[in-house]
Amino acid sequence: MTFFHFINCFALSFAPYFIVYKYSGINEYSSIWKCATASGGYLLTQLVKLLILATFFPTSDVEGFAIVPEFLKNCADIMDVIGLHLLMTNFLAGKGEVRFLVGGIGWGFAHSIAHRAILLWVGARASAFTWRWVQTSLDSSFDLLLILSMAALTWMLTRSSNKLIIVPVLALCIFSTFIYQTVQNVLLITSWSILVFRAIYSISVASMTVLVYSVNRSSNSVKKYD
Amino acid sequence: MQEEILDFFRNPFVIFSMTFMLTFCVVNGSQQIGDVVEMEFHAYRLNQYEISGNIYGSKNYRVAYEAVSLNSRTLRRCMVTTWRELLTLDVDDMWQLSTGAVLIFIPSDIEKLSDVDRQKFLEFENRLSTVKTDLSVYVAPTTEDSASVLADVNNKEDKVQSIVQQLIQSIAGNTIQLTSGDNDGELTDTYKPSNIVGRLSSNERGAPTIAFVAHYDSSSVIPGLSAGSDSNGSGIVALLELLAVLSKFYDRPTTRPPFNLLFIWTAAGKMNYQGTRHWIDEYQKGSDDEKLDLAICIESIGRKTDGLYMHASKQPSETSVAANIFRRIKAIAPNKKFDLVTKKISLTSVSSWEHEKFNIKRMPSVTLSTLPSPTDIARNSILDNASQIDEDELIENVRIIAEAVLGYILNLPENGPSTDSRVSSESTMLSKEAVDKQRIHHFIRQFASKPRPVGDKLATESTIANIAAAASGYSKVSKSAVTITDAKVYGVTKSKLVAERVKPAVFELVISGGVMAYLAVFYYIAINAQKSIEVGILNNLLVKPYISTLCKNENEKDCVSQRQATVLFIIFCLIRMISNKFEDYLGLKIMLSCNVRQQYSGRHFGAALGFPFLTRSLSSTVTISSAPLFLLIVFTSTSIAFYPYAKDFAILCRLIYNAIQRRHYSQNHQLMFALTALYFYFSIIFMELLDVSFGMYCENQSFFGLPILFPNFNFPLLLYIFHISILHHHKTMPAIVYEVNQENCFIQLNRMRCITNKDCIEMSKAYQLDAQPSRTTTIQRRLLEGRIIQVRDMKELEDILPCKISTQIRKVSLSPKPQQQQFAINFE
Repeated sequence: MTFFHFINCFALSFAPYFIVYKYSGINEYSSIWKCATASGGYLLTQLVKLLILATFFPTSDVEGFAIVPEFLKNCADIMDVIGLHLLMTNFLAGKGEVRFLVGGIGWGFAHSIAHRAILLWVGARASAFTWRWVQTSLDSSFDLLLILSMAALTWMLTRSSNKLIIVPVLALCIFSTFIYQTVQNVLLITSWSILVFRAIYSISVASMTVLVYSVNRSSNSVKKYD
Repeated sequence: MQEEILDFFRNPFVIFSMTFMLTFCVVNGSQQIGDVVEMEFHAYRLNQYEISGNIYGSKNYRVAYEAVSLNSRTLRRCMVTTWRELLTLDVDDMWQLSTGAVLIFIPSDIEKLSDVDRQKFLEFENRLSTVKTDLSVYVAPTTEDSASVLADVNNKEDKVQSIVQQLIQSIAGNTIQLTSGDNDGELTDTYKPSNIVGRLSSNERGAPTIAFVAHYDSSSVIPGLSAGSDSNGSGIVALLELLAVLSKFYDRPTTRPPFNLLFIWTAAGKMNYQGTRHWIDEYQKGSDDEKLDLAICIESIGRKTDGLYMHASKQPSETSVAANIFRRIKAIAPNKKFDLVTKKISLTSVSSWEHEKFNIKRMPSVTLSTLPSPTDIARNSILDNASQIDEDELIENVRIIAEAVLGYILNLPENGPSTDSRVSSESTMLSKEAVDKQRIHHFIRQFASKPRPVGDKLATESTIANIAAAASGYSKVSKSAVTITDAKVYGVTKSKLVAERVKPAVFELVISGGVMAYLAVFYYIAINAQKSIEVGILNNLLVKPYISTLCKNENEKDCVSQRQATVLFIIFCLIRMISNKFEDYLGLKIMLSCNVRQQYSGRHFGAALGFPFLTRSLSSTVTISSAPLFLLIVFTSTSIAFYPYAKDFAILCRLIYNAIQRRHYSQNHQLMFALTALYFYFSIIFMELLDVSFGMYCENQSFFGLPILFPNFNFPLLLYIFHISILHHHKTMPAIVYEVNQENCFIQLNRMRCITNKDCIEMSKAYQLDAQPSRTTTIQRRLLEGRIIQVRDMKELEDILPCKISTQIRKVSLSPKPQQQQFAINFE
C-alpha cells in the first residue's frame, strides 16, 4: 500500500538497530566501523553456510514440512556461532561486553537487511493492504534480541567454567528458525499468532541469557574474591 | 542456579503467556472466512459495437475503482451487483454516469438454471442489450472468491453504525479496489476476420453452382461468454458435415454431379453479415460464366423446436430451385413440420437473415433454420450453449438437406423412385451411416462449444484455422480477409479483474503513529537497558539470600502461615456466604432464569478451592512427623475441592464443542472470547492442582509489591467470571411473527438461543406490533421471507411462546432492508 507504507515498515525494521546502537551507550565504546565489520562477518559466514547447505543438503523432493530434514538443515546454523566467535576474538577489540554487543548489533543488522530489505521493497509497496509486512518488520526487533543473546552466549561459552547452563540456551538461539517453522507447521498458526509466539520466545530466551550471564558473572566474581 | 530457573518458571504469568498460544491455534484452526487480500477472477465485458453509425454497449474497458454496492452508486466507483438485483432495481440513472464501472455477477452454471430463472435471465440479457453507456461493464461468473467481494461490499454498506463506528470505518475499514488487468485483447486496424470457402467442382464449363452459407461467429450481450452453439455453431457443423457427405460424390468422375458446390463459412455474421456481403461483392466481380443457382444459408438447426423452416424474402416461383428443394424436403421428411416463411427485406435496418444479403444483390437464396422467426431471443443469448444442442435433431436436419440437394443435383425424380402410391419402401441416396454421429459430435465439441465473437481476435483466428483444417480434408479451401464496412468491432471481450483489499490512506498515518510509539518504547528500553539489567541481576544475587537469612526461624514461619491460613479461611467463607446471598444485589444475577444458568450454575465464589491451602498451611508443622497422614488429608480435600470444577470444565468443553458444531458463534471474536475464557478456566484449575500438589505458588509471591493471595483467593472469583461469560453467549435467531386470528393482531418474537441450543426464556422478547394487519403482513413478509405463523387466539399463542409478551408495543420499522442480513448468495 503505497510508498508510505514501505517507509513505515522500513522504519519499523531497521530503526531499532539504530536506536540500540545510538542510545544504549555502545557508541561511546566502539565506532560504527566495528559494526560494519560485524556485518561483513555475517555475510562471509552466510556464504560458508550456503556452501555447506548446497554440499550436504541438496534440495529434497519432499514437499511440505518434514521435521528431520529441516532439523538437519538447521544444524548448519551452528556456523553462525563459529563465525561470531571468530569475529569477536579476532576482529573486535575492547571489553568483552562491548565486543558481543557490537558484534550482535552488526550481525543482526546485516541479518535483518538480508532477510527483509528486498521483501519489503517488493511487497510493501503493493496496493493491497496486508499486515504481513508490519509483522515482518516487527519480527526484526525480536531477531535483534535473539542475535544479541546468541552473541553474548557465544562469548561466554569460551570463558565460563559452567558450560552446562550456557549450551541449552545457546541451542535455543541457534535452532530458533527450526522451532518457529515447527510450531508454524505443526500447530498451523499464522500471522499474528506466530508473531506473538516469536515475541514470547525471543524475550524468554533473552531473559534466560540475562540469567545465565548474571550467574556466570557472580561465579566469576566469587572466584575473584576467594 | 537451578533454583533461579525454577523460580522463573514458577511464576504463573510465564506459564500463562507461554501456553496462551493454544487458544489462538484453536481459533485460527476453526476460522470460517478466509482472509484473502488479493484475488483474481475472469470477467467478461458487455458488448461494444457500431452498426451503421449506431453505437451499442459499453464504451470503456478499464477498471480501477473502489467497489461499492449498487445502492451507493456514484462517479468513479465500481458498482458490484448480481443479475437478480439488477433486474429488480431501476438503474437507468446509473448508465448515464460518465466514469466508473459496473460488475455484475451471474451464476457460474448457467445450464442448471430452472425454467423460471431462464426466463428471468433472458430478460436480464434483454435489459443489457439496450444499454448504451460510458461505464465499463463486466459480467463475472460467481466463484467463491468473487462472491466474497460481493459479500464484503454489501456487508460494508448495510450495517447501521454509530458515529464512532463510522469514524473507525473511515480510517481503518477495508475497501475493495477493483483493477482490470492488462488488456491485450484490443483490436488493431490490421485485424480482419476471414471467410472460408470450400469448393467441390464438377469440372464442367458453365456448370451451375449451389452454395451453402453459414456465418461462424457467435455473439450476445456478453460476447466473451456466448458459446453460440446453435446460432451459429450448428451452421458450422452442418456445413462441415454436408461437405463431408457430399464430397464422396465428387471423388470419382463417374459419380460427379454436374453442379459446383460451394461451402462458405462467413465472418462477422452477427455484425449485419459482413462476411456474406463481402463474399457476394467479390463473387460478382469475378468471372461471369459461373451461375449461382441457389445459396442455402443455414443457421440454428441444432435445437429441437416444432419443425424446420425455410425462410425467404418472397414466395419462390414454382420453377425455381428453391421451390424444387422445398418440395423435395417435404417429400423426404413427410412427418416433419416443414414450412416456408416469407419476410420482406427492410433495406434500412439490419438484415434479419443471411439470405437477405443475397436477395439484395438479386441472387436466389433461402435460409434454413429450426427457428420460426428471426427475432427469436435464443439467437443472441448466453444461454445458447452446447447443452442446448440436440444432436439427433441436428443429424436429422443435415440428412434432410443433404438428401434434398443431392436429389436436385443428380436430377432424381422429385417424389421418390416410384410415383405409384402402393410402393411404400423408403429410398435414399445416402447410406444410414453417411451422416456420421461421431463426426458431428466431434465438430460440435470443436466448433460449437466455445465463444468465438468477432471481437476476440484469438478465438476468431483459431476458429478460422480449425474450420479450414477440417474442410481441407474434403475439398479445396481458400480464405479471404473481410473488410468490415458499415460496422465497427471492438475488442477486449474479457479481462482479468484483480480485487484487492486496501485501507484508506489515513490508516497509514495511524500505522506510522504506532511505529513511532513502538520505537519510542524501544528507545526508552535501550536507554535504561543497562540499569534495568543490572537491577535484575542485583535482585537475583542479593535479595534472595537476604530473605533466606530472615527465614531461619522455622517455628516462627509456621506460626505465621497458620495465622494467615485461618484469616484467609474466614474471608473465603464470608465471601461465599455473601456471594450466595446477595448475588442479585451485586449485579451478578444475570440471566438466572435462563435454563443454562440454572443447570450449570458456576460455583459462586467457590471457596472450596481454599481447603487444600488451608489443610497444607495448618498441617505443615506435622508434615515431617506424619507424612502419610498429611498426604491423605491433602488428597481427600483436593479431590473434594476439585471434583466439581473438573466436572464444570468438562461440561463447558462439551458445550463449546457442540456450539462450534452448530455454528453458534457467528463471529470469530466471539469464539475466540469463549475459548479464551475456557482456556483460563482450565489453566486456573491446572495451576491450583500444581499448587496443591507441590505448593508451588503460595510462598512469597507478590505482584507490584502486593501479596497475591491467589490462587486461593483470586482464582475462584475468576473462575466464576469465566464460567458465566461462557454460558452467557446467546445467538440471535431470525424473528418470527405470529398472526393471532381472533384478536387480529401481530406478535413479533425476537428469539435468542442459549448455548445449549434451546430458546432462552430470559433473553427472548415478544412484542405486539403496532401496524395494521395488511400493512404488517406485506412489510413483515418481506422482512422475514414468509416466516409468519398463524395462531387461533392469545391462549394458544401463550402456550407456544417461550416468554411473556412484553407490554410495550413495538413500531414496525418501515426500512426496506431486512434486519437479519443474510449474505449467502443463492442463485438457486
